[in-house]
Amino acid sequence: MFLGFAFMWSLVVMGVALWIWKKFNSHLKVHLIIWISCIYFVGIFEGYGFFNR
Amino acid sequence: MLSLSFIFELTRRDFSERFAGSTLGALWALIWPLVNLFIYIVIFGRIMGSRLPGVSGIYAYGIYLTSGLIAWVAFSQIVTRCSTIFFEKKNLISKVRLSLPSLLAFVVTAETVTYLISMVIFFLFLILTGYPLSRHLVLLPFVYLLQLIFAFGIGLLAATLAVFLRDLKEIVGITLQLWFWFTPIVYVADILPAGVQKLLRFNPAYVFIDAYHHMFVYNEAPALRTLMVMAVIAHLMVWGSYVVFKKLEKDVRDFL
Repeated sequence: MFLGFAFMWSLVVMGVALWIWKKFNSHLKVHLIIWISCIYFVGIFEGYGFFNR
Repeated sequence: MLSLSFIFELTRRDFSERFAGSTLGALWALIWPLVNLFIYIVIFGRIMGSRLPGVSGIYAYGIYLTSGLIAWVAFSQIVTRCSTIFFEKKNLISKVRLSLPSLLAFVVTAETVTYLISMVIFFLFLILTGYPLSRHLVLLPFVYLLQLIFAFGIGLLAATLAVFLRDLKEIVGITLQLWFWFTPIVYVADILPAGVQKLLRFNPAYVFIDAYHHMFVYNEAPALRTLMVMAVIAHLMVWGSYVVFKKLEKDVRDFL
C-alpha cells in the first residue's frame, strides 16, 4: 500500500516541480522547488505512518 | 545552467582519477567497503566480542556499527568535499561559465555511488547470513535522500564561506570529528548521562543515524515525526545556504 502511495505521490510532486521549472524564472523556481521537496518528504513520512497504523 | 550530463561526466572523471594508475583500478571501490565491513562485523562483533544491549545475536553490534558508519561516512564526505570544491575546481570555474551548485551536485552524486556500493555489499552480507530484513527498510531511500539534502545544505554554505575564510576547511574537519563522537554511532545512546541524552534531540545527525539503527537493528519504524521535523530543518538549511550563496555568488567568482 505504502509503495503505491509513494509512487503516486512522487509522480504528483514531480509533475508540480516540472510545471514550476517551466513556469517561473530561474531564481523563484529554485525557492519553490526547495519547499515542494520539503512537502514531498513530509508527505512520504506521514503516508508511511498512515499505512502502518 | 545545471546540466545533468556535466554532473555525470565530473562523477565519471572523479572515479577514474581516484584509481588512476593502480593495477586493480575501479575494483578498489569494492575492496574498501569489503575491508570496512570485515573490520566492523568480524573484528568488532566476533573477535572483540562487542555486544549490543537488549539485542541478541553475534552480529548485532557489527550491524549497528556498519549501518551507522555507512550513513555517517556519506554525510561527512559530502560536507568535507563540498567545503573545498570551489577551490578544487578553481581552474574550471575561471575558464567555463558554469553553475557553481552543479559542482556540489557532482560531489553528492560521486558519494552516492560510494554509498550504494557499500550498501549493496552490506545487504549481501545480511542476506547471506540469514539476518531478518525489516519491512521498514522500504524507508531507507527516503531517509538517505533527506540526509543528502541536509549535507548539501551544509556543504553549499561551507563552500561559499570557505572562499573568504580559508580556515573554514579545518573548522569543518574538526566540527565533523566532534559531531561524530557526539552522535551514537559506535556506542549506544543509553550509556550517555541523562543530561547529554536530552541534548541529543538537537543533533540532526542523530535523527538520521537513529533511523538507520531502527530499520536495520531494532526492526522498527524510525521516528516519523522527528523525520518530518528534520525534513523542514534540512530544507531550511538548503534554502538559507542558497540565499547566502546567491548574495555572494559574484564575489565568490571574483575571489576565485
